[in-house]
Amino acid sequence: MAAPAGKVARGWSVLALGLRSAVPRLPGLTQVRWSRYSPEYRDPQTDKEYYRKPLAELTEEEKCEQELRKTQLIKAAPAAKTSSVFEDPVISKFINMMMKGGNKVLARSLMTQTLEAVKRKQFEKYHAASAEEQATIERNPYTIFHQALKNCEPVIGLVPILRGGHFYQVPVPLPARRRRFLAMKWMITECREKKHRRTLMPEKLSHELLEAFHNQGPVIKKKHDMHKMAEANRALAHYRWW
Amino acid sequence: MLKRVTRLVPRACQLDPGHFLHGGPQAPQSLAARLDDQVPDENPRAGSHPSEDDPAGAGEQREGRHYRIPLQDLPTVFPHGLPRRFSLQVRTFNEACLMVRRPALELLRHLDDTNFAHPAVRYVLYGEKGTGKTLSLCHVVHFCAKRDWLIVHVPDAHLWVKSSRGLLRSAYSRRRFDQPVEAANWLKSFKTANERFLSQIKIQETYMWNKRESTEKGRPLGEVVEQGLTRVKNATDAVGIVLKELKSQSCSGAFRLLVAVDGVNALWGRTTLKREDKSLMAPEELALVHSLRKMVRNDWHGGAVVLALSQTGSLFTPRMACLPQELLGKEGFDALDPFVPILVSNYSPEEFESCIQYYLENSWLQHEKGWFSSFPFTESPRVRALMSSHGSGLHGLSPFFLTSLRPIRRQERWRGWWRLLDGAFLPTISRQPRARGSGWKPSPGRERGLPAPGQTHAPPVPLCGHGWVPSAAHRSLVPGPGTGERSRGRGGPVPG
Repeated sequence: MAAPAGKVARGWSVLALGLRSAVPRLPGLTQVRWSRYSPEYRDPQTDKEYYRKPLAELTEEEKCEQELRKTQLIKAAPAAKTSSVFEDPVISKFINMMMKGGNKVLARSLMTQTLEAVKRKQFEKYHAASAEEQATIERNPYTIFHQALKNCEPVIGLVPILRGGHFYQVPVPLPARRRRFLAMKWMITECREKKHRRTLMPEKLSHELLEAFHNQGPVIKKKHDMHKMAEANRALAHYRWW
Repeated sequence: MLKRVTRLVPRACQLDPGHFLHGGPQAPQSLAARLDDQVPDENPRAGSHPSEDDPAGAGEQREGRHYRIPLQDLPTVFPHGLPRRFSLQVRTFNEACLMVRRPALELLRHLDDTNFAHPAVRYVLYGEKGTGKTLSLCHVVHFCAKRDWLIVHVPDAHLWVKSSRGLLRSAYSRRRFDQPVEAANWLKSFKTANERFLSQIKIQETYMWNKRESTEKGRPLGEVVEQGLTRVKNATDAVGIVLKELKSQSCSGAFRLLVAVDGVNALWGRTTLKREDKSLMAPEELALVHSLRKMVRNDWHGGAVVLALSQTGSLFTPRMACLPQELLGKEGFDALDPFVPILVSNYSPEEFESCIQYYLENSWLQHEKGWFSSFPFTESPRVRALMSSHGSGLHGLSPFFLTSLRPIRRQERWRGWWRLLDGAFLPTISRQPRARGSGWKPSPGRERGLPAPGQTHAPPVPLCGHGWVPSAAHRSLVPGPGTGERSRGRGGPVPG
C-alpha cells in the first residue's frame, strides 16, 4: 500500500519549493489533482510488520530503504489510513465512493452494517443447510466482498473516440484501477437508483454483494452487457492507437 | 502456552438459570438427572466439556459462563421479544445464550432468600449504557418463570410515554388518559406469559365495563384480560384491574409475583404526548403509568420488584446520566426509596474472554486477524495495552458494543476526536488509542468514575460519592468500600 512517488507520470505536482514542474504546459489542459507535496516526499509506510522485522532478516535493499527513510521527507498519513490489521484498501476505497458530502462517519457505518448484514444472512443460510452444503457456504464477509467486486470487474471497456466528426464507442482494454473503479461504481449506483426508496443501504448492498458473489444479479448483467457491446463494436478496434 | 487449564465457557449446558445459585454439594448423579430431565438433543455440545461444571462448587465459579435458554421457551417467557440486538444474535446463532454475571447472580440469590411475609423488596439495576441491565433483567425473569412465579414484565416503560397514537380520555377518571394500543399489546403478552394463572386467580369485585357488560366477582382473571383484548377501549382499565387484583391477592400465597419493569425512570420523567390543547402531558395523567406506579410501591408482599433504569430511550435526560438519582429525579427516587441498588458494570477481563470464547465457538469472528491464537486473550500485549489506555467505561469491554462490531465514538466526552478501538473484537478501526497521560485530563465531574492508573477496570461498587448513600437497612447488601464515602454535596436527599 506504500505506493512509491510514481505519480509523476500522471500527476502535475506544484512544488512547495516554488520550482515548476518539468512537464510542459499544453494549451487547453489544466492541472487537476495536484498535491502540495513536492516529488521528493515519500509515501508513509503504515504497515506494522515492516517495522517489526528484525535486522537480521532484512535484505540489502530493505536496509538501504530504511536508512533512507530516516532522512527523507515523508508525507503525512491521511486520516482514514491506519496501521490496523483490519485495514483494507479496497474497503476504504469503497467507503470513499459511497461517501456523500464528506460524511465519512455515515459511509463507514453503512459499510460495517453491510458487512454485518452479509455475515448474518450467511449464518442463517449456514444453519439452515445440511452438513455437505455447510462446507460450501462462505461466511467471511470480507472474502464475499472482495470476490463479489472481482466478479463485477469488466475485462474490456468502451471509450468514445472522435473520428470524422462522430464519436465511436471503441473497445479498449482497461487498466486494473479502471476496472476496480467501474465495479464499485456500478455496485453503488445500482443500489442507490434501482431499489425501492425506503430500503436502507446496508440491506440493498448486502443483497447485491451476495448476488454478485454468486455471479448473478444486475451488476453482473451490466458487466456482461458491456462485454457484449465491446464484442459488437469489434470492427472499430483499429481506431485505438495506444 | 496456556496459562490456565480451566476454560471459562463450557458449551452451555441445558441448565436452568438458577442452577448457578446453589452452592451446596450436589451429587453428580443429580446433575445428570437434571440434564436428562431436559430435552437431551438440545445440548449436543455439552459432552465436549464434561467435567468443568463442578456441581459442588459455589455460584461464583459459574460467573462468566453462558447458559442457554431453550428456544421454545422464548415465546412464552418473552412474548414481547427480547432486546433487538440480542434477538438478532439469537436468530443468527440459532440459540439464546446469556452470560451469567455477578449482578444477576446477586439478584437471584436475593430472590431465593426472599421472605414473602415482608413487603416486596425493590431492586434497581443501574449502570452505564450498554453494560447489560436489560439482559440481567431478562435473566431474572427467566429464572422466576422457571420457578413458576407470575411475571408482570414491562419490557420498556419508555414506549408508554412517547409517540403513542390514539389517546383517549379515560372513562374511569376524567383527569387521566387511556392508551388502548399499548394496553392491548401488554395484555396480549401478559396472557401468553401467564396462561396457567389466568384461570386460577379469581377476581374479588364486580367490574362494570358499561351498561351492558360487567365481570362478576369470582370470575377468573382471564375474563378481564379477554374483555380488555376484545374491547380495546377498555384495555387500559383492564390493565389497571389486573394489576390491582394481582397486588391484593399476592398476599394470599397462592402465587409468587414478580414485577419487572425496564426503563422505570420513564414513570417519573416527562412525556412527549400532547393533550388536545397541544400542551405536554405529565406522566401521572396517563392511566397506564398511574397503575404501574402503584404496582411498584412496596405496600404488598408475596413477591419482589425488579427494576432497571435506562437512559437510552428516556426523554429529556442528559446522555451521561446513569445513576438512580439522576435518572429518577427527586420524585421517582422518593417513590422508590428504599430500594436495593445493583450496579451493572462492563465486562471484567474474565467475562470478556468468555464472551470472545463464545463468539469463537460460534465462528462469529470470521476475519483471519480477528482473534489471537493465544489464550487467555487478556494476556496478549495488544489487549493489555488497549485496556490500560482506556479509562472507566472501557468501551472495548462493553457488552453492548461487543455485539455490534462497529467503531465506537466517545465524541460527546472527548470533544470531537474519535476514540475508535483497535483490537480483536472490532473489525474496522481508524486511530490508535491514545496513551494515557498524554495531556488529556477528564473533566472534573467524571474524575470520580475513573479507576486509578494501572487498574484495568472499575470495581463493581455503587458510586456512592454522588450524594446518594444506601440507607442502613440495605447497606449490608451493598458490597464494596463505597459506603464509607459521604456525599459530595450534589444536593440530593440522603435516604433512609
